[in-house]
Order: sequence, then C-alpha cells, then structure tokens
Amino acid sequence: MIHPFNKKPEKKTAILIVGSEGVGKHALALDMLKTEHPFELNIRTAGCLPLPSEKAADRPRLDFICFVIDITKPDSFKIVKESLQHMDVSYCLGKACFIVSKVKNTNRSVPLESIHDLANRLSMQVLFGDLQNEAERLHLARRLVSMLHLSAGLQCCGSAPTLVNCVIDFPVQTDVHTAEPVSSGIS
Amino acid sequence: MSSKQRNPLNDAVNYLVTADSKLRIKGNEALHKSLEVIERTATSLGLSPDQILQLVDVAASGKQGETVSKKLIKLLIPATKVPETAVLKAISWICTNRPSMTIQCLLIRWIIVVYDYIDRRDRLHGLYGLLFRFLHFHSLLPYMCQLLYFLTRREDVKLYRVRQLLELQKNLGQQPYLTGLLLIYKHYQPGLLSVVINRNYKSLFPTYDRKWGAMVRLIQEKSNPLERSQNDTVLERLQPKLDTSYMAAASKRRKLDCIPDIHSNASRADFAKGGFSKLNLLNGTVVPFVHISTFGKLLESIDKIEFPNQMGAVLKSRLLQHVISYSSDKVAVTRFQFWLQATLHEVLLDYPLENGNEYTARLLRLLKSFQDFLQEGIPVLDAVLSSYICQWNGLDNRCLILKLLARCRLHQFSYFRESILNPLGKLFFSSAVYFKCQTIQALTDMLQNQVAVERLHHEELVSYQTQSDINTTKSKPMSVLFWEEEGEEDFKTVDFVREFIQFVSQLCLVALQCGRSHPLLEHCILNFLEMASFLHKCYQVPFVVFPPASLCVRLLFSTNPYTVSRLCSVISRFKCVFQSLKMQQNTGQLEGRRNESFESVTEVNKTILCLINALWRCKAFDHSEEARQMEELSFSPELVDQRIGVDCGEMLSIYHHQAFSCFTYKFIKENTLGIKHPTEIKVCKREFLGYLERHNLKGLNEFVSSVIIRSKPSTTK
Repeated sequence: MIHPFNKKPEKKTAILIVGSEGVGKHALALDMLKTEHPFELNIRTAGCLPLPSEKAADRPRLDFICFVIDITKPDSFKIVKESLQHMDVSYCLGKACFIVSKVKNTNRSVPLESIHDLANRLSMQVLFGDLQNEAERLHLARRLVSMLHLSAGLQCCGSAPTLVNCVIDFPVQTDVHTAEPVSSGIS
Repeated sequence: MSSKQRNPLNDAVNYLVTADSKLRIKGNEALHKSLEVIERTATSLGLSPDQILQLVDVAASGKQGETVSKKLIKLLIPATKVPETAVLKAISWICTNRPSMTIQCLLIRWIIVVYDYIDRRDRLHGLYGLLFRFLHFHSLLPYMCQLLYFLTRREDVKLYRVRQLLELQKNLGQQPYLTGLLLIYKHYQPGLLSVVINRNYKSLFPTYDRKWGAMVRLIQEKSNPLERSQNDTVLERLQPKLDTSYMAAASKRRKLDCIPDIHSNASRADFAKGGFSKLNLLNGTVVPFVHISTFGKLLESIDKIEFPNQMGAVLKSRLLQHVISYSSDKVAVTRFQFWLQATLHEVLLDYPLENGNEYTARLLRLLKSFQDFLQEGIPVLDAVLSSYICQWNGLDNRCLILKLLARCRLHQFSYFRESILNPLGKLFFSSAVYFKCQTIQALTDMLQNQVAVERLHHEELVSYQTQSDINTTKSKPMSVLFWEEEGEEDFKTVDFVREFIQFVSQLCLVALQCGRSHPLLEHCILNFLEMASFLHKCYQVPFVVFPPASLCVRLLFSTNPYTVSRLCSVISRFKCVFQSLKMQQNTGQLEGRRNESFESVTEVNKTILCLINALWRCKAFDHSEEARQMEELSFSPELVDQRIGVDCGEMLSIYHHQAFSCFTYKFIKENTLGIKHPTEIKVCKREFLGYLERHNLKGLNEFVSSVIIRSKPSTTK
C-alpha cells in the first residue's frame, strides 16, 4: 500500500505514473522534465500497482500519482482499477489524477461515463489529452507539474515586480532566496 | 502563316495515325521527331479535341508498342476540352483487352486526371455498370474506384453493388480507395450501408497523379484564363456571392467541411429546364434563397423567401442570418437546431476528426459570429458544450470555447453550476495560471452577458408564458429567436447573480491561494469585481451583490500596488452603488427586491472599515471595534507588538504596506519634507497619498476621500 505520509518529506518531489504498456508514460515523463519547474523532479513509472516491496525503503515519498487510461484499450482501464486498491485513500483528493488518452479516437471502448463515475466516487481529477500528440502531451505535462507543485507543498509566494525594484535599490543584508531549477533525473 | 506554324504538329499526328503496322522505334527518326513535336505542343499549349480524339486511338490500341503508347497517353493534355468520345474510345479499347494492363491502368489514370475537362459525361455515366465490373481486376482497382467515385450518382447506389464492395473490402482489408467509394455510397444512401466507415485516411485516393493533374490544370489555365467567367451558368450568377473566398475553394465533395453550402430545391437542372422555380419566380409566390444576391433584393421579397435545403448554411451567409432573425420562422429555427445538434455531436463528441481541427474551429468561429449577430445564446450549443467540457483537454480551440461559453443562456443556478461551472472549475484547478486568467475573463463576460442580454430575454419569455395562462391571444417574444412554448423556469435573476458571484469569488480565492499572487490573475479578478460593481450603473439592475469579504481581504495582502489601488476603487464604487440604491429606495423608485440587496450592508460596512483601518488609520488588527473582519487572523496584536517591538497595527498602512514599499522608498528619497524613515510619513499621509496618485494609484485617494470625508467615517450609510 502506498501512503503519502509514511515517509519524511524531502526537498525533491516524486511523481509516479501508472499505466499499462504502450500508453506513452515515458514520453509524458520526458515532457515533464522539459517543462520549467523550480524544484527537483523525480519521475517514476510503473505498469501497475502494487510496487515491488523489496525496494520500498529506497523509494522516495511519492507526492503525486497519476493513472493513465488509454480509452481505446479496455485492459488499461482494468489495470488502473485494480491498481487503485493499492493506493491509500488520502491520495485521492489532490494527490492523484487520471489521465484519459486518445479521447478523440473514433473507436473508444471504455465508456467515458464509467471513468467519470470512478473519478467522482474517489473525488479525483480527470485530465484529458492525447499522449500521442506532442502539443497535448506538453500541455498535460505542464498541468501535472503545477499540480505536483501544489501537492508536494512547495508552493511559495511570488514576488511583485515593483518590490524587486526596491530590493535592488536597498542594501540587503539577508540572502535573497533564489529558486534555481535543480538537476532532475528520471528513474 | 498560322497554317504553316501548325503544320508540323498536324504532320506528326497524321504520321502516327496513318501508320498501319508497328513502326520501328530504334533509328526511326520520323517517329522520334513527331513525338517530340507533340510533346512540345502538349506541354506548352495543350492539344485540341480533334487531336486528342485521333491520338487516343493510336495510344490505346497499343499497336505502336508500350513505350510509345505510354508516352502518348501522358501527352494527352487538353488545351480546352476533352471530347467524351475520346474517353469512350479509351474505355472500349480497355474492354477489348488488347492493350497491356499497364496501358489500361494508364488510360484510367488519364481519365481521372482530365475528368473535370470532359465536355459531357452522360454517355460515360451510361457505362457505370460496365466500369463497375472492372473492379475485379486488382491492378485497376484503385484507379477504377476513384473514377467511380467521380461518376456515382444517387441512382447508381444499389444493394448488390454495396455487397460486392463489402466483399472486396473483406478480401483486401481496409483500403483507402474502397473506403472512399463506400463513403460516397453511404452519403447517397445511408440506409443501405450500416457499417461504420473509418475515415482516418489522409487522402482517400493516394494513387492520384498529382503532378500530371497539376500539369493539365496549368495548361488549362494558360489557354483559357477566362474560362470560369464564361462558363458561369445563369444560376451561378444568380447565386449570392458571399464570402466567395471559401465558397470557391470548396469542392463538390469535401466531406471534412461540416457546414453545407447554400442550395435549394431550385436546383441547376430545374432552373435550366425552366421548371417550377421559374414559374414560381414569375408568380411571385416563393423565392428560393439562392436567387437572392443583394440586400436590396432581400428587402423586395422578404415575405416570400424559401429557406435553403440545409439550414446549416445559415452560418455561411449574413443575408440568411438577417432573414432567419427577421422571420423567426419556428420550423426553420427548429431545423437549424437539429442540424446544429447533430453536427456538433459528430464534430466535438463522437468522432472528432484528427485533422478536422481547422474545420471545427471554423464552425465554432461562425457560430460565435452568429451568436454575436443574434445577441443571444443557442440552447442546443450550451447543451453540447456542457458535455464537451467534461472531456475537453483545455487546449483545443480554447479561446472559442470559452467565448461560446460566455454567451450561455440564463438558467437556474443549480443547473448552471452542475452543467457548466463545475466541469469548468475542475479544469480551472488543474491548469496553469494563464488558463485561470482566461477562464476568469470568460466568467466576467458571462456575467455581463447574463445580466445585460439574457436577463431581458428571460424576463420576456417568462412574461410570455404567464401571459398565455390568462388569455389566448398573445404576442410572441420578439427579441428571442430560440424559444420553446414551455419549459422556461421562473426564477429571480438576483438569486442567479448572487450565487454566480459567490461561486466565481470562491474560484478566485482558491486561485489566489494556490497560484501565488500572479499580477495577471489579480488583474482578471479585479476585472470581474469591477464588472460586478458596474452592473447597477450600466445595466440598470435593481440590485447589487457584494463579493465575499474574504476575497477583498486576500487582495489587500497583495504585493502589487496597482492591485491594492484598484481594490480600493472597486470598493468605493460598491459604496456608491449602495448609496444610490438607498436613495432610490427612499424616493420609492425601487420595488420589491430592496431587502435582498441591503442584507449585505453590514458586511460591506465591515469590509470598508477593515480596509480603511488597515490602510489609513493604522489599526489593522484592531479587535476592539465592531470591525471583526480580520477574525481569521486570530492572534493577539499586543503579543506581536511585544515580540517585534513595532506597532503591528501600522503594518498594513499605506506607508508600511508591502505593495507600496517601493513608493515609500522613492518618496523618502525624493521628498523635501525631511523625512528619514517610513514611520515618519504618518504625519504627512495626505502628501504621500497625493504622491501615490501622481503615480497612477488613484484608487487609494478615491477610497480615502469617499470614506474619510466626514468626521465620523464609514458607519453612517
């Protein structure tokens, strides 16, 4: 069972992408790394849950889980439904989402209603977008990164443009915290 | 002179035609020379119909060998028209099976390339059944399919042909050319084909010789540049020349484009034969819309216009939009709604074409302009959009979708929240700041539209329905085009607006909390609040809805000076609205709804007091007064004062406020009053206020002067 609070929070964030083979998890992960993110990003992918127990200790705390459903493949939906049983319920609100791919395809075999039903029951978000399409994938990646940012608790206050002006003029004693993007890796 | 010039070509053609037996190719200079002459003429000027007729025989018979025949067929480029006989000859040669398969293929390809330039096609069409038999030859299949695709008419679609085609598809698998032919069959007789046809092909006929076709077109354009204007039939000249840019581009069978062209029962054939349409024209009973080209003509026959066959064409013609909005013909409106529902379902929900995005965008754009023209929302569109946003990726046609949503009809709020606001909210929370800004902007437009336009429509419809209960003769609702006899729920607009503003304010609050205080986001939120404050003044709404104080307080903590300044001006505008409403109530101009608006007066007063305490009176966290707005920040100010040694009541005053700190700094640097520290500004706050106003922060001064002008501030209202 994966739990969001059973490990200490770290400076880096971790997101887990769950989905059957060939749905485009890795392409999505690479796009997420391409987007601008002012924090260290650790992306993991899995075919299904539960994750193997032997490496559980090495694994970072997972801040966000997204389940990819390919709407043309009933299997991918089945896998996601089964995987959900191995996820703690505290992920549901705000720390997990479904991604529904290929919704514009003509031969849908998973009814949209059942996905919406499942999502409503668990109060999870559903994002739509074709993982095969580059523009849509990038758009999805951006949305995922911003959701991860929130769920990892890293949201910080922005600074006003005029205030920056003022800081530059004043002699500043304390260090100004600059949030530089840290090198990120995919595993 | 000219006869001499044309001689070599005629000679060459004659040479080839008169040759009885097979000519020697190697070393035969006469043959090479004549071919060269033909090539030069064909590729520069094209061949005349007679020459084509003669050469088809030579080429199709195959008696001069494969190489010569191939070359000749490639060179059969018409200068003007291709005689039908030439095409028939080619087909009859194919039937003899004398020429080789390659030549047969090439002949069909030639017919396809010159198809548009064949002078008549009736006899060619007579061979339809024969040509259909050729589908059994696998090498001819792709080309024959395309030829049949061109030739097919409604009466050709027969069950046994459909069966044969399906059989072929079963044997060969899904092939684009078979799909193409089946598509045209399905288009003519949807009842005969129950199979789902997958049209995910880039092109239905990839075998088409584009280069060859381009060459033929080039020669045609060169030799008859005025062809189009000369060949215009009477009807085409009569047809309205509206938006010709895309009407010219649309070919007869472009399926991707879902908006039909304007056509009518008064079709070309009828008109040419002088059939009923001409008669009707003379009688003056009915005028088909296709015969109306100008606005003047429209006015002449405005009571006799017959709508086109497909109502979807309304989107393409502004004139037709005038007609439909004037006539408010119930049948036409229903037909349009049916068409729109079916088309939108297909385009957005069921089978969105992967490459049909530009067509979808055009449809949406035209719908938007139609709605802008009518100044009302289309109920069917709202219904489809509400299910579409449940599966929308937030990217496709974003601007258009949001604009169309903003034009939504007025509904009961509970329905409105379920169908539109909640799905939109889900997208909103999971998206980046820019999308949030766009959504808030769309919601602002929606509020304006609901109050300014749809509210009046709604009131008219409701009064129409209640009127119908009393007496039988009733006037139709004039300002609304899309309406039903029944089903308009009666509810108060004020309830809708209150709940709408509450909902959007909550969205804004969450967006501010999780999306940092983004300047653009704050700008959009303030736009929304400004719109809420304008409603009474601009649209004569007899009520006012104050946004939740929590949103105002959140904006007060912004780091952007312009946000705080605009917030102040919005609040003072609200104060004016409440005052003017109070005045109207006292003079008796206001009926009924007064209580609802004034319920929130205490909250408004609290908010004003809170702001003025924080910004001006240096009592930001004062609990002693009745202003308990800051209760959420439940800490003891005295305790903080002791800890940090500063009066924390001053922390949010204009000279200490984080948003104005840069101005404070500059003020101290530039001032002539001898101030060294921000705290000293306390004694010359008015000067500092003036300084801020000179830097375009006018809202603060407006607010302070509207509240502090009397000795006892704010509470008297």
